[in-house]
Parts: sequence; C-alpha cells; structure tokens
Amino acid sequence: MENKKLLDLLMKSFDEELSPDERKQLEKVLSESDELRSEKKKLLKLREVFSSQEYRFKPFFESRVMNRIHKLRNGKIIEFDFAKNLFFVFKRVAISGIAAILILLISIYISEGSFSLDAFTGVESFSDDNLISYLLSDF
Amino acid sequence: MKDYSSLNDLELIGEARKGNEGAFATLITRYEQQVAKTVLGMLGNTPEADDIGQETFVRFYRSLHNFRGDSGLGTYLTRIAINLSLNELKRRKRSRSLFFSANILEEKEFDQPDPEDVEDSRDTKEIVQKALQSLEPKFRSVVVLRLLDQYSTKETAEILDLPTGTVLSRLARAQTKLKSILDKLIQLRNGK
Repeated sequence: MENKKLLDLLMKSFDEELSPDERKQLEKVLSESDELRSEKKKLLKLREVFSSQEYRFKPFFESRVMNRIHKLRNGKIIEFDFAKNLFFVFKRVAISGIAAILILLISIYISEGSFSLDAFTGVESFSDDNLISYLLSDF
Repeated sequence: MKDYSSLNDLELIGEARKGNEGAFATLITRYEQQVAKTVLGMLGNTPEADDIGQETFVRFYRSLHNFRGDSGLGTYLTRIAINLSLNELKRRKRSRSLFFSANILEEKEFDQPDPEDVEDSRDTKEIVQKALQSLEPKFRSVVVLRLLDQYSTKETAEILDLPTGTVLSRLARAQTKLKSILDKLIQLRNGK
C-alpha cells in the first residue's frame, strides 16, 4: 500500500468514529483508489470471518464445572495456598520474635542502665589489662 | 428440577447465592459459549483450554458474594477468562524456557504458521485458529476481544486495563499481520 496513513485511517474507521474531515478524506480516496477499496473489502472479510466463528467446549462442560464446585464445597480439594500460609506463619513468628526482642531490651536496660554495645555484650567491667590476663590465664 | 432459564442474570446470581445449584448451572449454560470463544481463541483447542474454562466459572462461583453487577456478567466472566488465559500462556512460555535456550524463545510479535500445519487445515475455523495462534499474546488478546467476542474498543480497553490508543494500535498491527497470514493460508489451501 502506497500510503500507510490512508490504510491506518481505513482501519481506524472500523473501530472508532472518524472526525468529519477524516471521513471526507477517506470517502474521497475510496472513490478514487481501487487499491484502497480492495483493502477495505479484505478487512471486512477478515472481520466477518472472525465474528462468525463459533466456539464450544467439549460436551458436558456444565457437568464438569458443577463436579468441580461440588468437590470444592465438600472440601475434597485442599487448596494449598502457599503464599497465604507462609504469610500466616511468618506473622506468628514475627510477632513472637518482636516480643522476645522487646523483653530482652527491657531486661538489658533494667540491669545495665543503658543500651551501649558494652551493655549488650556484657564486657564493660573488663579493662584492657584484665582482658589480656583473662585471655592468657591458664584454665 | 426447576427451570431457571426465564430468570435474568441478577436473579440467577441471587438464587445461586442462596445455594441453589440449578441457578448456577443455568448461568454456566448461558455463558459457556462466550467463555469458550475467549479461552479457545486465546489458547487454541488444547486440553488446558477446557480446564481454564472450568476454572473461570469456579472463580466466579467463589466470588459470587463479591459480584456487584457494575459490569455485565459476560464482561466479568470474560475478564476472568482472559486473565487466566494470559497466565496460562505465560506458564507455557516459562516451561518451554526450561527446555530451550533464550535466543530460540526470543520475543516475537508474530510467528509464521508452519506450512505443513496449514496444508492440513481443512476448514476456515482451523485456518483462523492457526492465524490467531501465530500472534503474540498481547496482540491475540485484543483480536479475541474485539473481533471474536465483538466488544467495542472501549470495552476491550477496560477489560485489558489498557488505554484505548494502545488497543487501537495493537489491533491495527494485528489485523495487518492477520490479513497477510490469512491470504497465504487461503492461497495454500486453494492451490492444493
């Protein structure tokens, strides 16, 4: 097709309303161009072929769906929704973990009076000297 | 068994919510063909397509109480069906990528159908199906909704959650390709 713009306009005319100018332009070209008229014919045929297609599932489709629904209702299908279960378990573990950390922090603060690194490691009472002698001592 | 065919969709949904299975079965019968068009158009006539069709109605059954009727039931089911189909196509691609190298699976907008497959195509339906399956999923979904299901451009955009402009450009590109594929298919068939 020489003029792609006109072909685009032709396709557009099937799917949305053209402006009066566009419509006039398309009508004019259609009356003059055999090529565009032939394209229009092909596109109409294409659309007709598609819209006339009939599709059906295999016989007894409704019974197959109802069987699945019965199984679902009777609890025969155990749906293992992994993400949902994981989130549920994680939520429980996370809440217990946060509670344990809070208790630990409170007890450190009560016993040591601060949140320093020494308070956490419990080595604030060691000086460099007694740390060396502690490490070198013979058990 | 009571005949529910005279009830409209909302009345049937109301009955189904009360646990009335006959009412739900009537809805399945009423929308089976529409769902089949979407699913079989997207996936072709494969064993998974039947399964995805069933899953569409099972998902609807599970969300019966959430259905507010903002959109028509047909549109609601089509939305479920198209999303499940697109997920299935992604799953297929993932499982193929386990067996083939990445360059073989390089993303293509369109594939040419295998000429031997084409020569075996006995009717228009098969030809259309082969042409459809040659489109990349994002183009196929637009064609299925607009040309097979006959949704308007605006509805297609809403179902796929895309801007209308994107739907129009994908549709134009897909149609150009389909036209040339169908021409070749028909020539091949006639030349046989």
